[in-house]
Amino acid sequence: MLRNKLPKGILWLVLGGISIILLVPEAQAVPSFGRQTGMSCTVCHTVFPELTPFGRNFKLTGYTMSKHSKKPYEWPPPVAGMFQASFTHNNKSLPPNVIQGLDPQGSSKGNDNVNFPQAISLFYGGRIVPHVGGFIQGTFDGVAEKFFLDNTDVRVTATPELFGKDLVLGITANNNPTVQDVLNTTPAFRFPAASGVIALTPAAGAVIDGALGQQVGGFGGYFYWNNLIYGEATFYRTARSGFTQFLGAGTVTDTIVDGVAPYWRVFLQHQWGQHSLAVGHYGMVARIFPEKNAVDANGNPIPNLFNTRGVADRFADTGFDAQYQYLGRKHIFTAQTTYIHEDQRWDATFAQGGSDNNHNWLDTYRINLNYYYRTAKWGTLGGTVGYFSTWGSRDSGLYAPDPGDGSRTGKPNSDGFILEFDYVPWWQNTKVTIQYTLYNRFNGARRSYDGDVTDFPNRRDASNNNTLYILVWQML
Amino acid sequence: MKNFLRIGLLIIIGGAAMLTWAGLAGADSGQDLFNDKCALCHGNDGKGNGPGAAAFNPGPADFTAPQFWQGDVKNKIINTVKNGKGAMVPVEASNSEIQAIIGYMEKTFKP
Ligand code: HEC
Repeated sequence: MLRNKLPKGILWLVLGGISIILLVPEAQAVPSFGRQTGMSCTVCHTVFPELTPFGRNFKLTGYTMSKHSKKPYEWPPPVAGMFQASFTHNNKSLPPNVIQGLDPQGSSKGNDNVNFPQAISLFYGGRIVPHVGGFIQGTFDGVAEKFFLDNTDVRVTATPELFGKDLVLGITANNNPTVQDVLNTTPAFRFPAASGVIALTPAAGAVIDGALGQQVGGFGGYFYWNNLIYGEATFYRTARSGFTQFLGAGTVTDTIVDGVAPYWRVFLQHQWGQHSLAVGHYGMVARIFPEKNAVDANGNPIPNLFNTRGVADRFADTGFDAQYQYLGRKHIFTAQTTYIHEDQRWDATFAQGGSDNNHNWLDTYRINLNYYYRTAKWGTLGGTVGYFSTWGSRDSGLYAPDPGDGSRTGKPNSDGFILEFDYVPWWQNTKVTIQYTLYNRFNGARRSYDGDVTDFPNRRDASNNNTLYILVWQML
Repeated sequence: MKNFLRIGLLIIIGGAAMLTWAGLAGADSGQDLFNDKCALCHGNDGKGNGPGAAAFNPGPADFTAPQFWQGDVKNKIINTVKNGKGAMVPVEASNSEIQAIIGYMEKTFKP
């Protein structure tokens, strides 16, 4: 594959970059949104994909705001593209089982992977007909080497008035819980917007924290009144079959939800001048089938076989979040934080002997501070300091020793920092990211977290997973 | 696979170029410019109630209000467009485009 031929990859990167800069003098974030509204990226974004108050309203009104609103259609059609190329360096090479897990295609190395492309996407982003709009992303995954339906959110909206104040009423069909949310605190669009693909990440995470992305289809309704209060209820079902199947097109459904998983969201926000503040709550209850304990004729486990009926595990997630944003002419500052508590009932997994306990919990906390300096001449330059922590019940059945991705202590605890530098030049639709992730603890320990010396001579320390990630992200 | 990726990239770049040219081709009267760059927030009728107005507190200025036209209005508009004001971010427009917008605003909204 291309990505292993570094010099050629760089040549393409440079050529691609130059032609793009020459070809796109007008700047927009999802450029079709910009063409539709006549606005530059900075109206809706601090640094994309983070939204400003106006960007949040644009999304809540269903991507339909348009300077062509007298016409029932958009011309040119609101299509856009995205290209990402990246480089990932791990502090210590990854063990073969981990690389195999991250890249079954087998074209990634243990370290210093160039992903060219990491992803190429085509978007339909904007108004479809009056009151109906969407953000539909089709992506070519450069590691898995396949196409899939990426983040998708299609809405029908109306903007009546209630008690003399603006009211937005909407219906959303989407394929990733929180992809429809407008605050950059919830999982789908939280910091970091992108991270190394061929890198180790902690084993434990709440279900709402990304486990169901593109694995489910959901339909829901929301209201937003007076720029003040937002409420939503959306119901997800597995994208493995039936009428939600198309929402998971191209993604192997390996997290199968039993029945319907309700998701709810409320937040209060206040915007005054250049400041805005929001506090909210979100949550979800999902019943998920465990992997089958199947073995082949030789007694080897067969992976990726799942129950689709019978007993399921139950995860109840309760999240709280807050965001403050200051949008000055030159100085932009954002603080985002979220806490998620997950109550886990391993009814099915425990019965199969896959966990030590029937009842566990898992907590996640994140906070990040972003500062950007913006000038018309140079564009937007800045960075983020983020802290993350996950902790929860000890369970050696769920978190068992395994080279690289396992746990010696049986604890899910991981924490660390992410330092990121971002530059969005004056033409606005390119973003360069340099990101460093530092782990303090990983899968339950600082040192030899994955197993005992006797088990794994190459045992890893948390800091071995520190990752340098460089990304060039181009919107077209 | 390699060729496929290159063709994909070419299609995207070509498409972007076509769309950019399509975007650059429009006529640029003061009215068109105002409707393209200002009306989303300030409204086609200049009253500060465009579809995007709801996002702002305080809301976009009402260009039909007599108070708006007091003092050095031209410089106020030029300054606001170039540097923004409160929650309004600067709008990309050349000097001649701003002049055309001001002309249209004076003719149409000034009470
Ligand atoms: C994204 C929404 C948005 C767009 C687009 C926009 N404005 Fe505004 N505008 C606002 C808001 C909000 C205010 C009120 C700011 C305040 O008072 O804090 C405002 C205020 C103004 C003011 C009053 C400034 C003052 O000192 O009272 C002028 C003049 C103005 N806009 C001109 C324009 C022109 C001309 C355009 C188009 C080139 C434009 N605006 C486009 C949102 C917008």
